[in-house]
Amino acid sequence: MASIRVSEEGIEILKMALQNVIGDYYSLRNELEKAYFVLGESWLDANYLLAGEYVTKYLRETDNVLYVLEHCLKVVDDLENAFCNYMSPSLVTTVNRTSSSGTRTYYSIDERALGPLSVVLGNFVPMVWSAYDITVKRRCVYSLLKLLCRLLGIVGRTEVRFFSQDSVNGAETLGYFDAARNLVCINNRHLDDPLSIIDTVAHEVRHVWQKERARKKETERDKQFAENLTEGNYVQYEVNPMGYYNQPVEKDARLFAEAIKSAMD
Amino acid sequence: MEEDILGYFENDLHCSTAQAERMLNELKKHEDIWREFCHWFSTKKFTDNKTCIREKGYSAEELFEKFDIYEVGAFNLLVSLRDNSQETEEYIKKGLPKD
Repeated sequence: MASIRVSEEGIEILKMALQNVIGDYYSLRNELEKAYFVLGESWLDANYLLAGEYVTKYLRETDNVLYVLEHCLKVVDDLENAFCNYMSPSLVTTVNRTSSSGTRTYYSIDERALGPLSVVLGNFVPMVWSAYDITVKRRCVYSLLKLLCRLLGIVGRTEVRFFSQDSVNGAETLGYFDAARNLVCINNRHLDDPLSIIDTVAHEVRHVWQKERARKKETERDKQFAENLTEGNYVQYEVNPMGYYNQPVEKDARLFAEAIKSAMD
Repeated sequence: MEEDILGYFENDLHCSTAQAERMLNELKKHEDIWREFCHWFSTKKFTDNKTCIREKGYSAEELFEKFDIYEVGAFNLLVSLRDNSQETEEYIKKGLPKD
């Protein structure tokens, strides 16, 4: 059997191309239907009836093409899931760098994840982002969330919810994780800032991942998360801001978000 | 007084016993900050602006007014400014963002 080379980046590009073509075909279908009703002046007009036959025929053919394209998209989706399961990258590795001012910890993104990440993060480049309307921006946020969930191997269904909240006493709420409903909540007020959106989505998705790891308790870090997330142990921001900032789940989420943002470079 | 403070941490702020004790010990490490905190806890008023403690120019009352934190959060920030001034100052300068 001949071997083929598959990359996650390639799969992501193929998916986007299929989705765009499917979108175009649906638009074409709508235009065809509209054209039919705009054409004729009389239902009994022979030319109008003939045009109607052609339109019906092309609509049927369009539907066949759509069926095939949607089936292809499903196959690519399945391939992507199989690929992710096979590759199972750890996504980030911990790097400690020592300098004159001390040791700093960074997370470094696994090379295998950089390809698909860069495709999705391409939408968040400020010049590209500013041309999108709110519907497209929300779709990009959703794509980023789904990709990060896949790359992190998050099992539970995670969705995104948008809310609107102004700053309170100068403090902004960019987003939060609703653990009870596995919802990543993003503040609409910050949709104009793509880099802060990446930061917020990555940060909150990491909390979803931490919640799953805390349940598994397979590694020392999982146990740290479990300890931190036990009721009464999570340090609230209002009670102890630096305690909140430095607790394991927040520190880990912050480092992860920085690593995802750096994948744009 | 310590029992009352621990009760406040556990019942009003919903901290675990371990977390409440940790916070209490951190505050007690610095006698002057602890004294000012106890004054607030007893009277529910901050120490006068002229005699209050300032760490890197910040008083507890100013921190409480400036940021969306509780009074105990302001005192904990004073402790952090004293113990870990560089990182805490950087965090404050960024606006104490809540992720």
